[in-house]
This record gives sequence, C-alpha cells and structure tokens, in this order.
Amino acid sequence: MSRSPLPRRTFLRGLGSIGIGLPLLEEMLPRAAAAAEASVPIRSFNVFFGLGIPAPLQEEGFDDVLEPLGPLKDKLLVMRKVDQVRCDQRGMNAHFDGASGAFTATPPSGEAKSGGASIDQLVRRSCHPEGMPPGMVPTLAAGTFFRRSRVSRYVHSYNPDGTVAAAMQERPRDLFDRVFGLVALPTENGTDPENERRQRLRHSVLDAVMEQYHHFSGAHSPLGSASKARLSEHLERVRELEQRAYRLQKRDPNAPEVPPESKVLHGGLADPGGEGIDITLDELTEEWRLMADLYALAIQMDRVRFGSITFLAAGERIRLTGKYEYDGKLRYEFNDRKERNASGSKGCSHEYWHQFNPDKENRQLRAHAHMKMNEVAYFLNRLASDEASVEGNGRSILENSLLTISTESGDGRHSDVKRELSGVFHAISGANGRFQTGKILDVDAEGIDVYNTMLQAMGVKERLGPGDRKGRSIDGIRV
Amino acid sequence: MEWSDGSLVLKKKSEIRSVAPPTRMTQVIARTGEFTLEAWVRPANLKQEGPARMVTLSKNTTDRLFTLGQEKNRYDVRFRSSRTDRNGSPSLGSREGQLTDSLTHVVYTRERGGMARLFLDGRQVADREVDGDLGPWDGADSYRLALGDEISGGRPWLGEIHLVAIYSRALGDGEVAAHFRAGPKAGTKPQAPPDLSGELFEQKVASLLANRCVECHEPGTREGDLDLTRYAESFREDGLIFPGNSGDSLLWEVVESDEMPQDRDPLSAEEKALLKRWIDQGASWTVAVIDPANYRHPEKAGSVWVRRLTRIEYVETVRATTGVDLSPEARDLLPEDLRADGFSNTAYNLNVDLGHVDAYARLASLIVEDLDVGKFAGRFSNRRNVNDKDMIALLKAMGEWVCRGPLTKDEVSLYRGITTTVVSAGGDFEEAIGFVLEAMLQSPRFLYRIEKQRGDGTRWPVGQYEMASRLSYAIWGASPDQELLGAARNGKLGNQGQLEAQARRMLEDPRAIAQSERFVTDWLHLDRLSQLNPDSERFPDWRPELAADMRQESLAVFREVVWEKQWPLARLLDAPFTHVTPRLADHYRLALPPDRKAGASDELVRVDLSEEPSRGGLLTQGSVLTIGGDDASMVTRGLFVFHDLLRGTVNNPPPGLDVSPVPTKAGLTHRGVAVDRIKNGNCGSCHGKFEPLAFGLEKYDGLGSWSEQDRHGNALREDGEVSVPGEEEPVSYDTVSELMTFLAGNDRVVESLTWKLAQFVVGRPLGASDAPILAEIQDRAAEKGGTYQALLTAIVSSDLVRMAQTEKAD
Repeated sequence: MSRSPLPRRTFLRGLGSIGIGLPLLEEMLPRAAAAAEASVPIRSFNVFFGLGIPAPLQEEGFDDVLEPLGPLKDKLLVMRKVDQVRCDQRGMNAHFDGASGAFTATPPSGEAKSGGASIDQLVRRSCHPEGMPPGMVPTLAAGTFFRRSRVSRYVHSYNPDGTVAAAMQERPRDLFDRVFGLVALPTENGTDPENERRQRLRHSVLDAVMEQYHHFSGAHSPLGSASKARLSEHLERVRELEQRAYRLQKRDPNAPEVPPESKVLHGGLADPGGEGIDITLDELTEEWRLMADLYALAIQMDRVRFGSITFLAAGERIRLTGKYEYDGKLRYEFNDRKERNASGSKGCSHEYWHQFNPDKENRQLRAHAHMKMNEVAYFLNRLASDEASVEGNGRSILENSLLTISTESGDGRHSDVKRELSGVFHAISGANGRFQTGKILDVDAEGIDVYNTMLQAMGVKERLGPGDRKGRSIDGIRV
Repeated sequence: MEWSDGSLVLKKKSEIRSVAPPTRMTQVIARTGEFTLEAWVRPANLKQEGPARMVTLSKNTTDRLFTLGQEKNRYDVRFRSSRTDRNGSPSLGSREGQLTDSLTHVVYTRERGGMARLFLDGRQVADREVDGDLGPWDGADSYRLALGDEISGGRPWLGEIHLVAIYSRALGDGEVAAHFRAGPKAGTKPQAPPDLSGELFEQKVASLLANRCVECHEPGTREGDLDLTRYAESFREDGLIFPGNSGDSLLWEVVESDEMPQDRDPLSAEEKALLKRWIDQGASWTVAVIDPANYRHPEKAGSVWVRRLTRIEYVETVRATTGVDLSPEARDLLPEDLRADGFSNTAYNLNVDLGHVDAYARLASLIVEDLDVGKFAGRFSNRRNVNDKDMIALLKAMGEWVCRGPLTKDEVSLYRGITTTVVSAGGDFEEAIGFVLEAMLQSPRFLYRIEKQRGDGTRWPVGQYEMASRLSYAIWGASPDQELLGAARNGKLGNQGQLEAQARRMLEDPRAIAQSERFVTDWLHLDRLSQLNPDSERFPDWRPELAADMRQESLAVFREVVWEKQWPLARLLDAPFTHVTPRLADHYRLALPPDRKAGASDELVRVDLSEEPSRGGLLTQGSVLTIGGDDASMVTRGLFVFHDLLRGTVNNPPPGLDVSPVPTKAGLTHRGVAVDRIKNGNCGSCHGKFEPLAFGLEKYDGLGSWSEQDRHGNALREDGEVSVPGEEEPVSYDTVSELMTFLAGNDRVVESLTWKLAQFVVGRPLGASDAPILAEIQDRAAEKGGTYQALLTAIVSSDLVRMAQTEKAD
C-alpha cells in the first residue's frame, strides 16, 4: 500500500501533500446543526465484491477470510445460508445471474437490465417519493471493475423497471465530478450586471425545459409507462443541474484541485477481450481507497444517501502481483500468473474460485478474499470511525445506515447451480437500530425474504419479486 | 320511430344522438388516419335533401367530422381533414340515380394516404383524394354522433337503418364485398368463442418450446427422432400430443415427470401448467415453423421505450437543424452510448445522467453562439417583431422545424414566455430567439423521439410527423428535411408508394451512405478495434495502426458492395476484392498490385481477390477475425457466424463444465480441440452446431494473418461443414472461399442481415411478433435485388416502421 487513509478534515482544508481535494461549497458543508440533530437521514447502500466467499469458509467466522471485518463485528450482522437460487438464469453461471440477484433477489432481464429494483432504490423511492432534496445526487453508483461484458456484473443499483438507477462512475475523478463538481455555466463568470442578467435569463430557459419534462412524464403525457419513467429521470437530472448551476455558486477561491488521474486503465481499454488484466496490489488498493474515500466523503457531507459501490466485477479476471501485508505482517505474496503458470484468462485468480475444494487449503483464494474483505472494511471504517461520521444521535453513519454487503455466489464451482447460488455471503449494518448487529446468524432463508424483511423494517411498502408471492418474514434479523 | 326486425325505422322527424362526444373513437381515428363508415339503409323516398342526415358526427349544420347524407337520388359523404373546410367539403358523392329506395349497403373508406372511396352494394362507385391529416379529429370533444338528423336539427332523414359500423381503418375492396355478401344482419350474429389455445400458443407456448425443447428437437439434431419446430400429424399417432387430453399425451408425461428436458433444469411449475393448459385446450399450432431465434428476446407488455437521440444522432440532428457542426464538442461532452443486445442504439439502454443534461445545456449554448440567430429566424419569418402575432407565428414555424412536428398551444405559450422574459429584461429579438432555441434544443421534443404511445395495447399506425422522423432517422440518422415535414403536413406519408418514393429520394443523399456505415460499424462493433491490445511477446510485429486499417478495410469494402456496385447485401460475405493499406497487406501477407506498393502507408489500395484463395469477404477481414482474441478462438468465431450470420441460437453451457480455453500444442490444433469437444456428449450437441463454422477460418491467426501452420508447427486446414439452423443436413466445404460463397448465397444469411438492419432501424430487439413482417420485408427486398437500398426501403415502408406498439391507457 502506498497511501494512508485520508482524514476528512484534510480533504476539506486541502492541506498537506495529498493529491485530492474539494472545491469547498458552503452548501456542501455538513449542515451546521447536524451534530446536534437527533434524527438522522435514512440511507441505503449496496456494497458488492466480485467472486464471493465460498460458504464453507464463512463457517470459520472472523478467523480467516472475514478477519478484516472482525473489528467492525459489533456494527454488522453477518448472514449465512442465504439462498439466491431463484436468481438462476438457465444456462448461465453465477457470475452474471448471481451478481444481478445481489440486492435485487431477482434474475436478470436481458443483458443490460436486472429483473427488478435493488434494495437502495426502493428505500429511496419510499423516503423521497418526490425526488431527493435539493443539491443531492439521487443515486451514486460507483466502483472499480475491468470486466464489462454485462452491466449487472458491476452495476448494483436498479430502478423498478430493471434499468440502471445511475450511470456508473468508474474513475475516482468521475465520482468526484458527479458528486462535487460544479456545473460550469455557459456564461462567463463575474459579477457585472450583464452577466447576471444573462444568467437569470438562462435560468428561465431551464425552467421552461423542466416544465416540458414535467409534462411528458406526467399524467397527460402521450408516452407509455417505461418512457415516462425515462423522461422523469431526465427531469430529475435537469433539476439537479439547475440546483448546481444556479444555487451552488459560491466557490472557495482557495479550493484545492480535483483528485489525481487514475493510474489504472478503465473503460473498454482495460480488459477489451475479457482475458484479464495484469495489475499490482498497490495499483489496485490505491484506486480502491481513493474511491472509498470519495464515496464515504460524499455520504458524510450528505450529498448522497443511496447507491452502490463495487469492488471488482462479478467474475473479474485479474492477474495480481505484490506483497499483501495485513496488520503489519506479510500475509501473502501474490503472483497469479506465475503460480498458475498460465497467461490470459487461465492465469487469473478467478480460476481459484472454480477450483475451490473445501477439503483443501485454498491458499490463494483465501488470500485474495481476505485482501478484498480488507478493502471493504476500509470503506466501512470510513463510515464507522471517522470523526466526521458521528451523527446527532451519537452513532456512526455506518450504524445509522443500511449497508448491505454481498457478492455473486456462495461457491465458485459452476457444477451445481443450487450450491453455487446458496450460502451467498451477506452482511448488513444496523440501520439505526432496526437490525440485529454483533452476530453471525444462519438465516437459512431465501435472499428475497431477507431483502423484503429489510424493506419492511425500513418502512418501505413495495416488495421485491413477483407480486403474488407469499413471503416469509425473517424476524431473526430484526431488533 | 320504431324497431322492426332488427332495423330502426324513422317514419317521422326524429332526433337520435349520443349523450356525450365519442372522444375515444375520434382519438383512435385521428391516430390511425383511416376511416370506414358502413351502413345498410333504405331511404323512405327520393326527395330528401340538405343533404338529409342519415349518420353524422357533427356539431351543427356547418361543422362536422363526417356525415353520410341523402341529396335526393344520390348519396353524399362529407369527411373532415386538415385540408377540407369545417363542413367536410368538398364531399364525395354517388352519381344521380344511384340512390334508390331499396335496402342498400353503403361504405365510405378513407385511407391514410388520402384516397377516399364510396361503395354501393359492394361495388366502388366514386373516389377522390381527401388530403391532409386528421388533426381536427384529435381531441375533438364537442362533436356528437346522430342518426336521422343534424345535431342542431333542420336536416331530417326518413327511412330504415339496418346497420351502422364505424372503423378506425379503411376496409379493402375484398372486405367491402364480403360485408355486402354477408348481408345486413351479419353483424348481429353472436361471435364464435375465441381460439384460446391458439392465442396461448402464440403468446407463450411457442416460446416455451423454442427455449426449452427445440435445442435438442430441431431438424439438425432431431434427438429421439423428434422435430418440435413444426407441427406434424404424427404427433397424435405417436401419442406425443393428444389435443384436448394432456393425460394421454407423452409430451406432458415426460415433462411432468422431469424426464425432459434432459441435462437441463426441469420446467417450472408455471411452465408445466402452461403446457398442460395448452394441450387441454386443443393444442392449436398456429405457426408454420418455430424458429428459436425469434424467441431469443422475451416480449413483454409495457416495454415501449422512447428513443433518446444517440450521440451521433444528436450531432447529425443539430447539423441538419441549425447547420452547426458540433461533433468534436459532443464527443468530449456527451457520455458514450452503451451497447445492449448487439447495438448501441437500443432504446431501453439509452439512459440519461447528469453528464447528459449538463452537456445538452452547454452544447445548446454553443450552438446559439455559433449561429447567426437572425438569419436562422429569417428562415421561418421575415418579421422581426416581438409582438404576439409575429412572434407566435415565428415560434410555430421554428418549433415545427426544430422539434420535428407542430408545437402544441402550451409549447408555443412556453416559448413565447421566454421571449417576453428576455424582452422585458432589455433583450432584443435575436437574444430572445437565441434563448428560445436553447430551450428547444434541450426539450424532450428535440432530444427524444416523442411518439404517441398510449392506445389500446395493439399496434397502431404512427402519425405523419412521427413517420417523417422514423424515415429520416432510419435512412440518414438525422432529423427530417423540409420536404419530409411538408409531406407529413400534407398527409403524404401514408401509403407504401409514398414511403417508397421518399426512401428512394433520401437514399440519393450522401447522409444515407454515412448512416449505412454507422450500421455496419455498430453491427460488427468496429469501435472494438481501437481497443485491440494483443500480447506483444506473441505478436511482436503488431502496430496499433493496423487496427484502424482493418476498420477502414471493412468500411471500404462495404461502400463498394453497397453503394458503388449495389450488389445484394449478402455479397459482403464473398466480395472478391478488398481495400487495404500496404501495412495491412504486409500483415495479411497479401500481394499488392506492383504499381501500388509505393505511397503513403495510410492510403487504401484496392486489391482484386478473384485469384486469391485466402481472402475475400467479411469473414476474411481482420476486423472480424480478431473477435477470436489472440488465440483465434474457434468458439468465438463460430458463434459469430452462428449468431450474427445464421440466426442460430444456442444456450449457454450447462453448469459444471470447465469453459476455460484449451491451449493448443504440438499435435493439437484448435480444430483438434474443437473436434474433441464436439465428440464429448455434454458439449457436442451445441458445439457441433457452431464450431465447424469456424473450421474454414483456422488458417487465420488471432490477428487475421494467414498461415499454413500454427505456432507449434501443426498443419492447418480450411475444410469444414455448415449446419444451417432449421435445416437437417450439414453442407460440407473444402476451402474458405467455398464457405464464403455458400454463406453469401444462403437465405438464412439474408434473413439474418434483414433482422440486423431492422433492429438497427427500430432500436429494439425483435421478436416472434415481428417475424411475419420481417419475412415480408425480406421477400420484398429480394424482389428488388436484395441490396441495402432495397432492404432499407422495404423496412421503412413496412408495418415494422409504419405501426407502433401502444400501451393501454389506464
């Protein structure tokens, strides 16, 4: 690891030799009254990591692969024996359909759509039926991934119609722009009356534009339901633009620079053929932590309350090299290509999941999974331990929010669908006292029932899955 | 007035009218642009005039939507369009003496293209053009339906009315004749119960069989000697399906017991219940052949997606609308459109994010900055006043152009509001129009292809302006020109002939060439080439410029086949020439004509391949060959041919199989690996369908170079066999050129190209309900030579483009 965690205050002040900073907008600062506010906002985030934790390894509790989550165990409920078999898409393996089922509990619907809403989006719509408060990003979908053949491998926030809830931000700088970026108005900056006049006029143009989107997404629209939903999304984005362009105009002249360019390849260039990429541990973790810092900061500053973050796509193929230190000790030295004695996809760590054998040591798989859990824990820690994460009720953001952590499968071997999609690792945070924490629970239930119980506890009326399905409440997870 | 044996007898002046305006009916007719009024009537005498109103939908004696009337001894029909007066004049009438006191079958039809015809007793007696659209019918809420007199009175008619029927389409000659033969009481007979089993089959069972059974029971595989793609009389004899009795049907028995499908997941409880219900209801089989490719994409109700302009459509629309070229700025600012279901213009995947709306706002401002606003406004009006009258006239004309159709009153008011705001803030005419244009360029009417999607859940004809946009985006990838908008305004985009004439005109425009290249680029995903990154140890001679050369090669061959030679589109597969840079020729180990070796290496050189056995056709070009990755995967290449050229379907490998590529070695070629896989019971049934398709490409390495040996020194071959989906026997070939010749002449390839281009045009995956229209398109295109031009013309003049799926209103 080449970098240390970045304290939020450092971000805000833009001090020191760090390579990241923020334009400081008055409206972006945590509300002054927040510290004294007893009520806390409802938030829901989906945390996804590719290539799961085989169910037999989950039985070891926090002793090995889950060790990095150990320090946070009082704030989490780890759920074992969660079954996602209903998400099986015939003839597909869990990389795709299991990942699509994570947080939606429904099988995918086409290569670019999920089968239904994700948890965070139902909570969002329930809490904010009229849209998010001014200045907020409605949904933030972000993450680090390289394999992009199907979107549900890496996107984990979905609208009820199965379309993605927000564009994926895959570079730290994209995320930064999405959350903190100001919209540069086409008119010149300055305070002379002519510019102010033009700004006011342009504002009235935007009002007229919003009026039209309102019409086409409303009751008298000539459009069908899916199209209206699309226009409604557009309207929400225009509102957001309007907020940023005309209401968040006060920029600190000393605002520091935006985050540095990402050092790893993104987009189609990253892994064009899906054959895997060579990457060092430093490159990967530096990217992850930058992303985690920014995402956590967006939450801390109340710019984001719903969304998802992805730590590698489902079925991701990487050939990792580098020394992995944990707790000050060398845990493992990765060199996938060499250890597997193969190039291309055969040389990727992905293969360790296919070859998992509960009767063997699975040394490399354990090291990879441990390292990934360490990064997930890093993100959670930003919401649990930062001073800025303490809220008015004395609890941390992690404790007050619903964070759902899951993955694509409960077993990497494709030879048995039921086994592959059963025992899918799940952990959730307490959501401000709504759910049990400090436990490892064998829930022995379908994911859809677990998710719907979570939604019920969050006060959401809508349910995932078929409307006529008789659900089962998993009361053991609730307080 | 009295009822007599099912007829209404008007003996004295009577008033029979609807209590409320039939708005639903008028809305539907406005939407379809077509109309039929059918009546069986017997006039009481030959003296009535006015015309005396038999059937009318009107407000008073001078304002109507239609009227069937009697003018002494002739019939008279008035019908309202945007080009008639409010009274529906000029009318269409029979000749004098054609109205008698006998019971007569009277039919008036009006087609979308404007042709109106009058039939008496099954025979056409008059016709005339009734131009214009049916705009006046849309939202008409003060017209009521009446029999026997005008709504406001004063035009009474006496006689017998045996039947009145109004249709939202124009009945054809045959239908009119059949209705006449059926007599006046035909409409009163109770309807036969619908064929529930047939409906069930079309909507669900065919898809179930296609996705769960046909994989093994199709002509090529026929496992258990059973072909389930076609209905066979032997089904009953063999005890497979007993219509009406699932208990005795073997099909039900093996499915219920989970004996079938073999080595796949059993049918779910819902699927089983569906199958049982279908058999018990009579097992209707309503399609000639179940083609599994038609069922690849499930068709779901309520999935009608508005189409956002893609990035390139946005750029081209801005250029066509304003003359401003924004391509570099749009590429920088607008997020990329992502691919789904094989294309990047798939409507459901054209999401919108802050990046889009931010870019639209900035780009709108840039456009106005680049534009001479005064000159632009001058295209629509010479008056530069900011008063209501002049400004509203300008906004209407400008709005129709920018928004690709007339503005509503509310929209005009909204834009008028911007101009008054600007003017009241001290702005002038040009500034006001500039801001209006910025607003229009960000409006849904500009950024989306807004169409009326509300209806009754069936397919309805699209409106005239919608048709204009559908034509222009299909053929040019840009907005309609003035001629198209004028045709829409005058209702001249209604019939097939009008559409074909427009298509011919539009295909002469250079924008049609650019759009065709976008199709082939998107279909073959040529943008992928810019991301090629082969293993440098294995391919030390690779240079990134070669990827660009490969792209240029495919586009140049496409241009020559499609536009210069105007050959059938399928000849892309065996075109005996190519266009390569000297660099790419070296890479291919292809000899250039002696006089063309010199010159810049970026210059394309045409090479005749008629004597070159190793090259010729799309599949021998690097742009396609590289899809197999460094290892020249036979699986990927075979699947490309199978899916993209032969419309084959194959399920994903069942769970439990190691799908990692098997490396080659001395003594083991890719073909050897494939043959082993095909022999394997688990893999063979599927891999046998598609891997042999790539055998002919074995001599091309992962980057498309030709060699007789692989890197281990194994000799390579080029023979193989093609199994065309739906056909029983595979066809052998000895050389790659034989394979290309076979593909170029194969109907299934033509069908595949038809489906691909049609999907690109409509922006959604196509399914079983589209299949009959696509078959018709293919036939019509074949009659005209099977060229790209013929195919695109057939598509845009077909019901695939002329009709739109509606969603039932709440």
